[in-house]
Amino acid sequence: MSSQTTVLSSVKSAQSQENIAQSDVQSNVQGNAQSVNVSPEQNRYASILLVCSWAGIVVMVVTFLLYMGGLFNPTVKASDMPLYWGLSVHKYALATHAPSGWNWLSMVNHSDYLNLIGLAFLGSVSVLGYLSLFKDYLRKKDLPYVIMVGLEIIVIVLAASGIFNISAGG
Amino acid sequence: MIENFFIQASSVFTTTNVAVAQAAGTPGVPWWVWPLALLITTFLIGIVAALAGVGGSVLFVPIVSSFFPFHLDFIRGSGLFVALACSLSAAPKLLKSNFASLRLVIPLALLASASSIGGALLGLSLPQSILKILLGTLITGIAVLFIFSKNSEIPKIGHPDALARYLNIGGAYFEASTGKDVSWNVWRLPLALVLFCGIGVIAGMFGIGAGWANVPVLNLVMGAPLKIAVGTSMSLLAITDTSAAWIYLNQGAVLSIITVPSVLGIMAGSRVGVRLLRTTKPKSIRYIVILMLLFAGLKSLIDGLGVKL
Repeated sequence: MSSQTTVLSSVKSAQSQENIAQSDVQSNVQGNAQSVNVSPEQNRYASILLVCSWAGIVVMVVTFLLYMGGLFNPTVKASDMPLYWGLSVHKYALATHAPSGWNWLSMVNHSDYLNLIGLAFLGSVSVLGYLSLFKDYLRKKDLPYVIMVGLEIIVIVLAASGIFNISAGG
Repeated sequence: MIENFFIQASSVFTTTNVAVAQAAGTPGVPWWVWPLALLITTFLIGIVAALAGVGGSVLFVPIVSSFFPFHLDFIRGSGLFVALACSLSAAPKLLKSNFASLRLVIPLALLASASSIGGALLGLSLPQSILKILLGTLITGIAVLFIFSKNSEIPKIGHPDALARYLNIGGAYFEASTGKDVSWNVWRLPLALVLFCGIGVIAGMFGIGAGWANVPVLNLVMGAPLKIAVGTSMSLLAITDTSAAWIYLNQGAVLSIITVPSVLGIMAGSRVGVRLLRTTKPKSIRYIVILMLLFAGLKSLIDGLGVKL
């Protein structure tokens, strides 16, 4: 508490606090980050996020270009999308016979569904990171964090499983 | 020079949105204009959002729903992926520099992500008119929050609560302005957990990320230093938005023709914005963002109420 008060009094700034925080975050991130120790599990988690998120974005871009180029026989051509994108998700599914849940996986030979692989991968990156955390906290016998990380994995897997389904509104 | 650039960028932004709004009522517009216009618009949103220190999706959802012909279901689905992609690309640097703490992220993310599923299901079950009214009210409220909220760089806190002590939440980061390491702790963790449940519901329901709410709760309620609050909030979004994004994806509410240009536009724009941040005056840009939010919020409210102007 006292050290915080000391730091508080030593930090002066003319700009708004939030903007300072943002600009300093940038400079610190680039230059002076070695002075505080980052836990190995946090470092590993960050590395997984970095590599996997960029991999997901690359896949997303490549498959999107295939779709926009009209390759791989899309079920709904990009040029036809203006007919459908103003519909609610429920009406869109009826009009285009779009699959629900994970059924799109069986249609990845069509470029409009091939597109979803990159997006689904982006949605899986956090789980991959959390699996690494689960292993690290288990090794450290940090029981509260083992439980919370385990529960989070279950929450995301349940969300991804497609068991939560609802009829769309108007 | 930077001010001129920003004025020109604002002008392009306005011109683009007006052109898009006019095109929305013109059936003869070529289909490819929409993803291209979306890419340009989201690129500009990315610049403005980075300069103003707000998340891109809080601007993305109201602005795109105001000016583009897409259904709100697809815009919210894309909004979550926009927030997710931005978070995933920013979080690694923040985590590796100790500007975000996983020990703080994990308990908050667990409740926020679980409740975001409920929010997503609620959002997908409501009619668009009701959602627009709620979205308009929320966005207007966020604009007001931005006007009146006063974050604290390093808040004074009392004794950390028992739960925060048990979970050993705390850490240190390097403060460049003083050349010293700053140690920090948090308090009121149980209250924050309740608040993050509500934040999760809103994030899932409207697809707008939640940085606008995360940062005040982390900073003002829990007493985390502002830099830790900003970094932790960004890392939290990667998890909170994942659960809700899966609900939208499984429901078919993610159209790549909307989502991919939006993600690419905002990511590219925010990188340019971060570079401009070193030389521009973010305070004036923050006022512009507040005006944009007020305009988009009121337009959404008017659309939802079915008022013809």
